[in-house]
Amino acid sequence: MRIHLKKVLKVLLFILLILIILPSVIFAANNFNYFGKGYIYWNTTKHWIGGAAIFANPNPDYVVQSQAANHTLWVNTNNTDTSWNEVGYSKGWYLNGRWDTTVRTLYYAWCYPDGTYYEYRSSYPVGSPGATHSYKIVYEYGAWRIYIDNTYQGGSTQPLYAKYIQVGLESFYHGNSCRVVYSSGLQVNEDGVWKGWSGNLSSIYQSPGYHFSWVTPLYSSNDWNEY
Amino acid sequence: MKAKWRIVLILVILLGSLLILSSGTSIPAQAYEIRNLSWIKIPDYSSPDLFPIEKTIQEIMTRTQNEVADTPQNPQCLLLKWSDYIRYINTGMILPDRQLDDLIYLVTVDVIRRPWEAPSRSLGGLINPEAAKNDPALVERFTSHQDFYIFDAKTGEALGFGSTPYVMILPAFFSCPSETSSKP
Repeated sequence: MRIHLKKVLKVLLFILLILIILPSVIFAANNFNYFGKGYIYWNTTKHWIGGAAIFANPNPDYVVQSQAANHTLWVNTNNTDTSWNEVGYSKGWYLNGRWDTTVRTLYYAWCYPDGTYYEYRSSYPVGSPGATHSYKIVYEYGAWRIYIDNTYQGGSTQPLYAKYIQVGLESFYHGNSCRVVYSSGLQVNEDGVWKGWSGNLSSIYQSPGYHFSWVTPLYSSNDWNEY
Repeated sequence: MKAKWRIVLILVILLGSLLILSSGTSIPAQAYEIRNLSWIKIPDYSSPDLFPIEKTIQEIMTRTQNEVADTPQNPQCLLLKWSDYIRYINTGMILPDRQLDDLIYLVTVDVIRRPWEAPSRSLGGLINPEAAKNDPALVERFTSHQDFYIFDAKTGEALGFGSTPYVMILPAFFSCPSETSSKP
């Protein structure tokens, strides 16, 4: 009887460990997003009212195993890092009511200061792998307006100014094997004048396995995931 | 007798762990605003040639259940035009790259999503969800209480999605099936 009880205890302990460890592993593997990106920012208020970048579509196109991966231009709003507009290329979108990791699309999105997040699929043609698109977000006529290849997409009314402007790769699953994507033409609009990123504070953020590197500092760059 | 107490102790720990795991997090849900939009008068745009959205709503519920610790509930759907959507729902949106007369389905699902449970959406590049987990201010800032989806009412194509820190109550739309559309 004593032997049986010990066995039962061992089994229960094993189940307990599995129940605690397994969800943690799954959670860590799936529920974070990962970046290889560069950005500029200011410490003393600058009147940044826009950002621009040119991105090449991934070529060859890569496989997104889960969720999505996107190459994006972010322009923050309201002098903070917690509200923004964004535009870019995404691998992964809803199809027939289900999330489909094979869908290639251009998209635009924003997050208001209250935390409401809106993301829209652009009707603009995504083009073939390797095709380039210019992306621009600029404050005009009282709102942040988003453009792809100078074609208007949509926009939001949010407070000025942009404190951060960012470009790079964002992936929602660590195992997504995003190959090198080239971006160039990085610009910032200060008080209505477009100019290069040079001369501003800049930084790079890389999650483990994800990379961002300058080809020409503050003008063109690469981002990729090594997995 | 001693062994029996050990079993009882193990069972208590086991049940406690299960409760913690099933709750998803020990951080309590924040209070949230309810935006009652049931007063909105939207004309009845329904017609037989529109995309049947019911199955899509069910798939959204299943997917949501798999993504978050909270239980998704109260799916609502509304047939409206882009112009109605901008006027009443995303009121900060300026004109989209769509025809304002195009019909869309707006589908909402009440569900608590914390920053680390938002895999299909951006946190703006600067917010690391892992770090946000230990920052109560970020948890509050990026915890949403309702998901929404926008579908082309003719083709069923998904045109947009997102989440809100508040819960919208939409006007009743009679074409939604009763089992997936509990109305206030």
